[in-house]
Parts: sequence; structure tokens; C-alpha cells
Amino acid sequence: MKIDIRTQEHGVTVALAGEFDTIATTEMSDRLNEILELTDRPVTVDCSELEYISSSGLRFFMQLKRGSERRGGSVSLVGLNEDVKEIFRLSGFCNLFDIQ
Amino acid sequence: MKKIIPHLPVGDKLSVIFIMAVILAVLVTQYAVNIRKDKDVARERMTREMVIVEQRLIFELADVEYAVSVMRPTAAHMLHHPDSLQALTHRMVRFISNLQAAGIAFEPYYFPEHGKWYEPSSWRKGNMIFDEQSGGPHHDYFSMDWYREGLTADPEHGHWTHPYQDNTQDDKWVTTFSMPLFDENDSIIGVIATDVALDTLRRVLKKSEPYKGSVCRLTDLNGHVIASSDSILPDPEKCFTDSMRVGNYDLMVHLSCPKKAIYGSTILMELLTLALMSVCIALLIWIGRHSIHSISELHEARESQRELEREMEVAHNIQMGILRTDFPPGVSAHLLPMQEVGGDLYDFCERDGALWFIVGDVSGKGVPAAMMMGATVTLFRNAVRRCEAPADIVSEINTTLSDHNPNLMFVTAFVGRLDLQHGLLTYCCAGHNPPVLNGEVMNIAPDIPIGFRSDYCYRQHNCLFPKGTRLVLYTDGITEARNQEHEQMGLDRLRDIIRSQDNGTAEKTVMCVIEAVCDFCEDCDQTDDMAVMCIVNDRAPQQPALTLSNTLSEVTRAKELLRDYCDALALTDKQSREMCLALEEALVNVVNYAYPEGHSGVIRLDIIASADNGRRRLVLVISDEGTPFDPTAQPEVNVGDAVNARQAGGLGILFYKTLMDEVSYRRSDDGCNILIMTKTFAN
Repeated sequence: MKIDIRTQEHGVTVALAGEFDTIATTEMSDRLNEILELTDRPVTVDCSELEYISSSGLRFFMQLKRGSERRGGSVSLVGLNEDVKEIFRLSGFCNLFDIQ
Repeated sequence: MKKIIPHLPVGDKLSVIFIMAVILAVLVTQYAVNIRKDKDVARERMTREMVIVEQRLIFELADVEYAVSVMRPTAAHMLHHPDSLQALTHRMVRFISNLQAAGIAFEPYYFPEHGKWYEPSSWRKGNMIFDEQSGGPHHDYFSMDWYREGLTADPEHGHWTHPYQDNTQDDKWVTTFSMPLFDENDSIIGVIATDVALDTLRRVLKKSEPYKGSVCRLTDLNGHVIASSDSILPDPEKCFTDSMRVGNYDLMVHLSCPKKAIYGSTILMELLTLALMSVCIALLIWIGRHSIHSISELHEARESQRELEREMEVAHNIQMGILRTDFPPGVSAHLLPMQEVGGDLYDFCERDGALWFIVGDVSGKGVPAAMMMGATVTLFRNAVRRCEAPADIVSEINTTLSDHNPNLMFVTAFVGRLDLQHGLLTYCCAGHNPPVLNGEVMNIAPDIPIGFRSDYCYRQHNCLFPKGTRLVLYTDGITEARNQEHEQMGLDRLRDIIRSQDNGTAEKTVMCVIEAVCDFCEDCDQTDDMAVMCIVNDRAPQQPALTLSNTLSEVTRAKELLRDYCDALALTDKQSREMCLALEEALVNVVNYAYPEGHSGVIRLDIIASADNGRRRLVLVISDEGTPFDPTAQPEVNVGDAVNARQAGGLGILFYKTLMDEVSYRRSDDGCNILIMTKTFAN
């Protein structure tokens, strides 16, 4: 699992690559806080390199969305592959996120 | 093993010696023949020359005889004028240059008026010719040889006296020719005689000089020298001398030629011959010594070859010693190197309830291949202790061999991990021949052989290996073995042989393959090593498969194992990921909640994969001894809830219940939670 956080003037881009499983989620908790610090700007999560996501991974997204909404920001997801999109659909998360 | 034959051109040297010896023999013979020939030629030439001299002498003497025989009738006519006979002798001496003197001697009182002796004669002295009647008491010719013998001589041929020194003529050597003189009544009345000064014949002798420095001598029969072409007598040591009698005369002619002169003409040739002979001898000695050196070299080479053969035997034993023969049940292998050592290899190892194995073939043959083989087996043994996957083993061997591979050798290998208990074979094929699985040639996409690129990323594959499965691995020495008709054994024949052994043990299968190849080849020499390995899964699956502790990192390990099964079932990536997600969600729940926080516990996972009649089935069984918890009884999460309303849990259960066909839970009698998840895949 790789995460790349790029801060730009008009927003933050978070690129995720690899498998977002339970282990990866526990390792990502610090990075989540780092991202949440930046959520005064719109956050775009680039999922084009994301191959797998478990419920723990979804939980990361939920925490991100809650945190950013609390700060008035927004989270949008881009580049989801069909398999990952299927998980989002299965979990109802597709209704919660702005998926492009 | 390639036989090492030292490069020793001893044969060539022997040929050279033989040729040189022949040349030498020819030269020696020629030299001997030459000397002999030279002698013969010289002798022949001398004889020829002497014959010429002799003929000339005879001619000179015959001249005298002729003159006498011509004069005789004239003398007979002049008997009435005895005083005029003096004129006749004068003319004879004058016209016949050889004559020293000429005389006509009459019998006692033939001319009574002249008394008892009457011998009108003429003789030469310098350029003068003197005439006188020399007979008388002081010159009683009746007793002289020339007179007495002349009277009785053959009237036609006359008589020559022995050469003698005439005291009346300064002791000059003379010979006298005399013929009887007849009157008209054919009565002998006296003798007509002529003295030949033998020294005048010297000019004849001097004409004869066949070789420079030759000396020609005229002697009487006793060897008294009468005349010589040179005043210096030849040294008999330094000369060849030949002699012959001059006609019927009591004269001998001797021709002496200096050896130096005779051989002078051929001496250069002989020197050259000698020089050549010397060179030949020197060369012979040199080559001979070299040959001896070569022969000792050859001897040494043979010794070292024997030494090498002994070493090869040891190497063979070492190589055979490397190969394990302590086969576990269901495993057998055999290796047939075509030379003392070879490049085929197999090895196996049991670890963590799995059989790890390798069958390989090093490029090339003999010692280099054998060394590479030893290295490969060693690297396999090291890698198998650490690596978790066949691809990792191959990669590790590849990295080491590629980095130190100056001779660009390579190894094809099939490395596998057979989880006998779970009936799962995980393998990596590095350019090796496809094995035969249950009588069918495996359809695999091999990776490149080991040794080419150290950074090559090898892939691995899985296949189900339930009880009764039979895998036969081999090297190309088997399939490429040729018979007398140059036909190859081929994969089809091998497959048929393996099929005929469907129910045999692994050992029987291996021996059957080896025997079949030997039968096929008959007595044909094979060039390549052969190796066969057979693995039969004769073990019943044992439960449980994977025992995990209640930590999250164990989830990863379980997922990896499941992936192998998914691969073995040939599931798509999506299907594989879905199965992994289901397992992860189920396991994470157990890890997080089955045991109280801080307490370690055991979680067992069993994965049962089957592919019967085209239906692929995957069963995941998770059991723990923790707090009773039935996920199937949990209320379903409302996926329509807003973010803020969503609870943390529940999603996982939703996932696996959705992704699997069937999820069931039971609490066992011995206090275990048992979760069974099943999924069937259509082809």
C-alpha cells in the first residue's frame, strides 16, 4: 500500500496505490491525521492505482469524509476501478461519496 | 565428461624420424655406391687408357716387325752383293724412328770372303747413324739370344727378345726383334735383327695421362722399369695402379693414378653427401631426443589421464552423493549421467508440511555442467530454508548464478512446493520441459532459464494436487533420447508410458520410464544426461491446514495461501480478490473480537479446493476457541445510512455474506466457533 499526498493551491490530492486491506489501514492512521489537517481545502482521492479494498479501507474513507465535512471540506474520489467500485456499491459507500 | 586427450604430435615426429632414417639410408647407400662406382669408373678409365697405351706400343712394335718383314725379302735378293746390305740396315734405322739399331747377321762363313762373322749393321747415336760390320770375336753374336732365338723363331712372326741392357749402346734398354733369313732354297742363312730403344717409347707413355699426375711405366716381366712417363715414381699408397701385358711381348705397362685425382671430380659431391648425412644424423639425434621427450610426455599424459579418470570417478561418486535417495513416501527420482558426471539434477526437501523439489538441466555436459549442477543444488538447498515460494527460490538461484556466470551457462529448472496436506502445488518453471500431471502434459508458460538475467522476475503458478495426483518431471535427455533410426523418444511416448503406470508407486513409475527409454534406445549411445522424478500424493488431507495466531499480520499470510488456491482453481483476478476479501473480513473479525484484548489465541483455517466435473469449489473453514459469535445471526448493516449514522462494524460480515454462496456457523461440542464459507465457480 502506498499513499502520496500532494498539496496544491486549490486542494489536496491523495493518491492511493496497492491493496487497502486491514493491515494497510492500521499503518495509514497517521497519514489520515496528516490529511485531515489539510481538509480546509477540497480533497481529491486518486484511486486509479488502488487494487483492493477491505471494510477497514472503507472505514478510512469514512473517517476522512467525516473529518473533512466537520471542517467544511469535501472529499471526491476519482479513478476507481470496477472491482473497487463494486465494493463501494456493495457497502452503500457509493451513495456517500462523490465518485467520479 | 569430455575425454581430455593431450595434444602430442608424437606420431608426426615418428613419421619425421622414419623419413629422415630413409633419407639417411639412401644417402649412405649412395655414398657407398658412389665410392664403389668411382673406383669402378676410375679402374675402367685406367684400363681403357692402358689399352690405348698398349695398342700404341703394339703399333710401334708392329711397325718394327712390319719393317723387318718387308726388308727381309729385299735382303734375300741382295745376298749376291753382301756389301750392299749395309745400306739396307742404314735405311732401316733412318726411316724407322723407333729403331736403335738394325743388323743382318749371317751364319758362320756364309760369305767365306768375310770370314766366320758377318754382320752388317747400323745404329743410331744422337742424330747420327753409324754403319759397320760388327761381327767378330769381340762381338760373337752366335751365342747371343737374339741370334740364336732368331734362327729358330717362327719364320712368319719372328722373335722378340727379353728386354735387356745393351752394353754396346750405353746400357740402354733395348729389345731385339729378329727373324730368320732364308736363301732361295729356303735354307736359314742368318738372322735379320732390329733393336728397339725402349726409352723411345716414353713418348707413347707420355701421351697417356687419364688423370692429372698419372704415371705410366713400361717394365719387363720382372718389373724392371724400362721407361716411365715421369722421372718421379708414384707413391703406391696414394695411387691406384693397374698393369697389363703388352700384347705377347715380354713387356708390362703400368698406369698409376693419384687417388686424389680420381676422386677429385666427385669429391665435392661426396663432401655434399657427407654434409647432408651429418645434418641428417644431427637431426635424427635431435628428433630422437625430442621423441624420447615426447614419449615421456605421452607417458606423463597417459598418467595424468589415468589420474583424471580416477578423479572423474571420484567426481562421479561425489555427484551421485549430492543426489538424495532418501525419498519420502510418494517421491522417487533417478538420474543417469551419460558421462562420469553430468548436468542434470534433482533435489527435494520437506519443510512446513510441504515437499519442496527441483528438477533441472544445466546447459552443456561434463565437468562444467557438473560444477554448475552442484552449485544449483547447493543454492536450492540454501534457498529452500528461507524462501516462502518457489519463485523466490528460483529468483535467488538465478541472481547468484547470473552474477557469476562468465561462461554464460544456464539452467532450466522446475521448482515446486507441494502442499500435500492441502493438495496444492505451487511451482515456478524456468524454461524447463513441461511436466506430466495425471498423464497430461502441463500447459504452462515457462519463464526464462536461470542464469541469463539476474534481475528477472520469475512468476509462479498453482495447481490443485489432491490425493492420487501424479506428477512426473523429467529432463530433455529423456524426450530427446534417440534410437538406431534416429527417432526421438518424444513427449507423446513418455506420456503414454506414464499413463500406463497410473496406479503404480512413484518408484515404479520412475523405473518404468527409465526402462522404457533404455528399451527405446537399445544400444545407441546417448549424448545427454537423463533425470526423472515422480511425485504421487498418497496422503489424506489432514485438518486443520493453517494455524494462525490472533494478530492482523496473520491475515496477510492466510490471504497469500488463499491466492495460491485461487490460482490453482484458475479463478480470475476479480474472483480471487473477492475470495481474499471474504476471508480477510471473516478473519479480521475473529482476530479482533474472538479473544479478549491482550489474550493470544489460535485461529485455524482450512482451505478446501476442488475441481470436479468442471465445477470449481472453494470452501473456507475458520475455527477459533474464542467467545461464541455467530456472524450469520447479526443484523444486516443498513447500507443506506448516511455517513454520520454508520456504525463501525458490520460491513465485513456484509461483504463475505454477499461474496460467498453460502456462509454457515456452528458452535462445536468442544467449544469452537466454526465458520464455513463456500463458493462455487462455473466454468
